[in-house]
Amino acid sequence: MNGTWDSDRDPLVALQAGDPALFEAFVAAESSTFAAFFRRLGVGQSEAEDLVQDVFLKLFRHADTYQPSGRFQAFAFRIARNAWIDRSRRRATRPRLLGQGPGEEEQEEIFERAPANAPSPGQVVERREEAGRVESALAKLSEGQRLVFELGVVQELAYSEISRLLEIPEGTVKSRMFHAVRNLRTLLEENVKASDDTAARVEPLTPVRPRNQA
Amino acid sequence: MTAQDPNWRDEDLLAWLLDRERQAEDSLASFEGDSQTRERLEDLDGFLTECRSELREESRAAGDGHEDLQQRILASTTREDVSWRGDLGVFGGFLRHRLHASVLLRVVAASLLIHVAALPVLAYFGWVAPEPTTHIGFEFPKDLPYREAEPEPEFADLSEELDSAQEEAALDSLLDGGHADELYRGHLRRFGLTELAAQAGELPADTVIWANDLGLVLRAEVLLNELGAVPEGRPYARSAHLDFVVSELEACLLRLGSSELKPALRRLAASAWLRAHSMGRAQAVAELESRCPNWVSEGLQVGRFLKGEDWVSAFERALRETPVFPKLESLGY
Repeated sequence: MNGTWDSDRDPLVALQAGDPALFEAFVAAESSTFAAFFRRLGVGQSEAEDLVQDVFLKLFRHADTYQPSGRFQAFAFRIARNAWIDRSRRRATRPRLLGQGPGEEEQEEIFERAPANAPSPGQVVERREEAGRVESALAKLSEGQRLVFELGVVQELAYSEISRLLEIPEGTVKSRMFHAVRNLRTLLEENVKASDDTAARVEPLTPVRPRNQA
Repeated sequence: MTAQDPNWRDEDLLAWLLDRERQAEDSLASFEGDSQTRERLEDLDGFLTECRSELREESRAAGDGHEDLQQRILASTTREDVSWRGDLGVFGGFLRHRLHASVLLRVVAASLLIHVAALPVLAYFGWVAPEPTTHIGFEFPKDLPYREAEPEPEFADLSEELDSAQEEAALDSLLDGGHADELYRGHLRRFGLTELAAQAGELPADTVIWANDLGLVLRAEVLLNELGAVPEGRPYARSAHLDFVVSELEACLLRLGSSELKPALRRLAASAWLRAHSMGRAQAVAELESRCPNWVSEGLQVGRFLKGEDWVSAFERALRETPVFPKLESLGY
């Protein structure tokens, strides 16, 4: 068994067989995926990393009693979703700053951490400008639509897997996905239209002629 | 609903696009007969693909700084060191992560480090510093000529106290009035030594005479006069001063022998005796009486002049009532 991660492979089965390489490859390949998953659910950068660590630890410790049923990726995201719910419950009992919402924690933590091997701020801004419009539009969706979109479109889980993961009927998954896509398209089109209007309102610069010239 | 069904809703097309299980049954090619549905499907697929790729690109971009996270995960899972080194590594990783994540924590850690580093330095300076010395003592005011061992009781005004200034003036008048221009001749005349006073005019004015007989007598006189300067409210101080006068008079008597200054000395002794009586100092009286025989009549002369006959009579009556009177009678009084 090689150490190359593939979404169709099961690293916990490999662990049970005594081979940790696949699990390590899974960690290397998917740690940023899970971090992005948590961030898109409104968790800050630092806390997202903690949640990612919790998820992988739970997966690793679950290896002894793990019984594969369905795709491993769905199982992993189920663990991730439960970790996110636990975190939300803990947060609900803690006092929160007035006006602070789920997405604002990320704004707080932007300046909190600067890892030594992080991309430069310019690079981050450039990348975020390209992908930020989708993510910012996604942040405006409801939590249920956002979750279904993330799992179905980005993680490419099947509707049945999403249904079991979120413990909702498949029809609800289908309905939420439809509304999520429709709303997302609307938001992105509005965003494009607003950018075009802003560009049209900017007057072109005219050269200033010296007074002695008629 | 299958691909051949013309009544596809967007919801169903979406489900077909996203549901891998459904795609296993039908393929995109199955929609070739329905161009409109195919167009909608391609449009949806294009949109979803664009969203997916952008979001995954963002994930990859954000994941550039996740090596540390991956190492932490592996250190806690497949590469976990179950020995004490592993525990230290986990703890160290936790500390590094937390310090990296919080500016406030870094400030607190730096402050703690500075304090811990400064502690042995402060301890060293405290160890080598000399011990503070403690001085316990008493300081008496400088203007006090005597030191009192006990708190002074309050006494009523001492009566019948001889005023040394009055005594001096009276003695001067006994010597045909006037004072010598110089202190030396003036003192001689005051003691009734007129012949010596006449010779004194040949001596330099600033001659220090304390070493000779007259100096001794003068010194005793000065001491006795200073008794008046001790406040009346300080009986112990006055008592100590009187003791000092008595000892000086004793020394004078021993030195003078048969000096012609003895009459002057006897007068001083009488004066001291009177003062001792007025102060109730029996010890001083006894000292004077033992050293200066036959001075009582001379002392009474002074008293007679200063206080009058009535006083002398009262004094004699009181004298007879004192315990020392038998001794005086034995001395020939």
